[in-house]
Amino acid sequence: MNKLITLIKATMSQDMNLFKIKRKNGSKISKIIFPIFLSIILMFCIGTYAWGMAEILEPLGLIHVLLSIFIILTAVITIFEGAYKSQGILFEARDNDLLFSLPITKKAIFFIRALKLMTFQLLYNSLFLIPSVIVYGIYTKINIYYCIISILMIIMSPIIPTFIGCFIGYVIKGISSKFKSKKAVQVILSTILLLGIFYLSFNKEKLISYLIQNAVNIDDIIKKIYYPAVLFNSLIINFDITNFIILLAISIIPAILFIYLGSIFYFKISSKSSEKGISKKITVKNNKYNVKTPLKALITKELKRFFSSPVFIINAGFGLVLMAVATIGLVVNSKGLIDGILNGMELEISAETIAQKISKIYFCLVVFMSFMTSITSSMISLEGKNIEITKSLPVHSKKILLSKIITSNLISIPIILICDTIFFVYFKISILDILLITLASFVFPTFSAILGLIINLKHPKLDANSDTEIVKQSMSSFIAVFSGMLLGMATTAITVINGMKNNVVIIEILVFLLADILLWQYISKIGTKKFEKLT
Amino acid sequence: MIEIKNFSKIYNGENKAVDDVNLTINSGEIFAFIGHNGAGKTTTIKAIMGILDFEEGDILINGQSIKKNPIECKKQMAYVPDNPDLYENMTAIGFINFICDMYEVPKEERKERIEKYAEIFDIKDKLNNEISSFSHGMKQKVAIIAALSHNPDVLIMDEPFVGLDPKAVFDIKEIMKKMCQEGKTIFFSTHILEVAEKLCTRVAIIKNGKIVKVGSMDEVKGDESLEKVFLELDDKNI
Repeated sequence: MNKLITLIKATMSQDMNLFKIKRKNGSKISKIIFPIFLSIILMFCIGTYAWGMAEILEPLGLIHVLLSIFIILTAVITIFEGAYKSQGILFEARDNDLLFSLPITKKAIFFIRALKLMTFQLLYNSLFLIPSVIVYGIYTKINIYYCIISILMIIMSPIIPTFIGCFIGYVIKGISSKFKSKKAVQVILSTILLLGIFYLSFNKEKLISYLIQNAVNIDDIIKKIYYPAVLFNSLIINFDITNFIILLAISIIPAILFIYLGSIFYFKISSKSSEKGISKKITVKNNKYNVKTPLKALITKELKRFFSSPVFIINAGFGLVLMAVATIGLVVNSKGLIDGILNGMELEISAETIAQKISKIYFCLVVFMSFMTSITSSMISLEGKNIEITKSLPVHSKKILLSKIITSNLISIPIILICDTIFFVYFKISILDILLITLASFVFPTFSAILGLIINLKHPKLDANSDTEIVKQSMSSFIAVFSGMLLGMATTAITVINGMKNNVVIIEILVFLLADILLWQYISKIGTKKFEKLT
Repeated sequence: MIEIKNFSKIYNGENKAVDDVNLTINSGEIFAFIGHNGAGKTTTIKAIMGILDFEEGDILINGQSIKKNPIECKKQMAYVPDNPDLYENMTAIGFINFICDMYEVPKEERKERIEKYAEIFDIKDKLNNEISSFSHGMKQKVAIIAALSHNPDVLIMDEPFVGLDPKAVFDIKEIMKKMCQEGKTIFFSTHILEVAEKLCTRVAIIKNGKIVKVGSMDEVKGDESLEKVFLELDDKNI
């Protein structure tokens, strides 16, 4: 047991290092102020949303449903995230060789990896659960008992979804490890999973109506969607020891079973995953010595890095796949999608008005997806120890940073432009709209790329244990995703509130174009210095 | 030529890793930098290469300051790190080509050099393999070929012999001697004192961030072996 605790301490210390606040020069304090500030804003936004829901639910006598909704929401996010993150955290950690060489059981290593993932999900889920718990507490009555049970609920809630996510990730990794092109198979399987989730979300109405038809009451619906949510609810409303034991059992027994059974093939899958393709016999070709300019060579290097990391591809591809799906959805079933948007946003705008403003809706889609696609926020961290080679090159840091922005744009802009073309062909929109959307397709992804790079320069993680830690769990990606989300929401809201007029769109494009220029100036002057100081 | 002038490096505002180092390594010299673990060798090498920022002193490469003119300095240098953390997702040839692109080496020149050194280090048939599949020694060979592929004036190597097979050690020593005859500057750190003794024109011993002895091999060791001198200096409370 002592060995296990020591191991947990050692493996977690790297991640928790960020939370050790240095008082001497204050540099660490300034580094965590912004993430904390961002978390508070995010929790405030979620709290406001929860408050709005509570106002509707309370008169109906359904206030207890509020917590169930948030537990289900976080469970879905955790399963989804866990399925992707587990592939890297469980199997691709850089300290695998070290840990496997130690006299500890594979079960212990497997458990530590899963625990690490769960700890992160706990922090992540807290952003959603804490505001909902506070709102619910305000609407009912806060007492010590409520506080204890809430804390317990927040701690226990990620266990089940994390292990479901881990199971999915385990299966994907297990299958892909059997193939020669492991990474390609992993990306394909993960994309199938992503598309499956999209398919389910598009068909959620059917599922919900089926549940409503077959359920006795709302609690029964929740029970059918996610049984643990009902148990959590019952504990908060009226503590029942039987429910608590059931909850503990359904949380912990599958987790133990997963650790026990999963560890049987864990080492095999890990080893297989780390096997590298020994390439075919060399054929000396002339093009082997193709000369590139330094910038081109740097971009090629970045692209190779991007395509070598399934988690990086899937993460970056999420927004872009969503964009493609939404565009195809608009083309195939524009009325259904517009209705969906109307229902989702709870806006009192007629379908006709929306149809007239389709180009602006698409503009908002471009803006939102551009902000949600942050590739550069991981690019510096992914250099890892290679940063020394990069820094030793006879190339100005500005060029190195520029190559990262161009790479990001080369990945995102072509897909956005393809979506634009599909949209332009299907919807007969004005030349001005075509021009504005095309401009936005360059301006917003560029902003996202520059912003991501600035964030990563401020919060680099060069000692990560796996790509997943950088892409999914680093401070940089956290800030980039949530600041992108807030910026996307703000820009979309400004467009909608101001009647989706051309002038508003033009001003927004100009503002972000100016921001692109200013932020690039910042990178050229201050960012390069920060880059040169990285070690 | 490398001129290290009053170079000091302080980590986190408190740990002085290198303290007022002054060294001049002339063209046509093979210069060994020796010292125990944590003495400040890698810190000095990284500062020479412009990888590590430093506040005190200056380092000149052929008369140009690495602080003021990093790009010009780097163009004249090549670096072989102590731990060859190369771009793992690239093939060996891809990586070497990448380095050549950075140094703007023309196609014919790079082709000739890469093939020559790949032949010498016996990895010609593995150039198309991904670096991640290589052993430490193989990675080291790739790092050395990449460093030599642009024919640098100044070659900086941090523990270049670690992980190499005896033939590769012999080959790299021969290459170093040849470069020295061509008037190039070679500066490397090592723990293998026999190699330093037989190969180098001059040597510096660093201890706790300070240079404790510097000079030609005869000046430093006299009639003793370099190992004995090093161990004696290490024992002294300097």
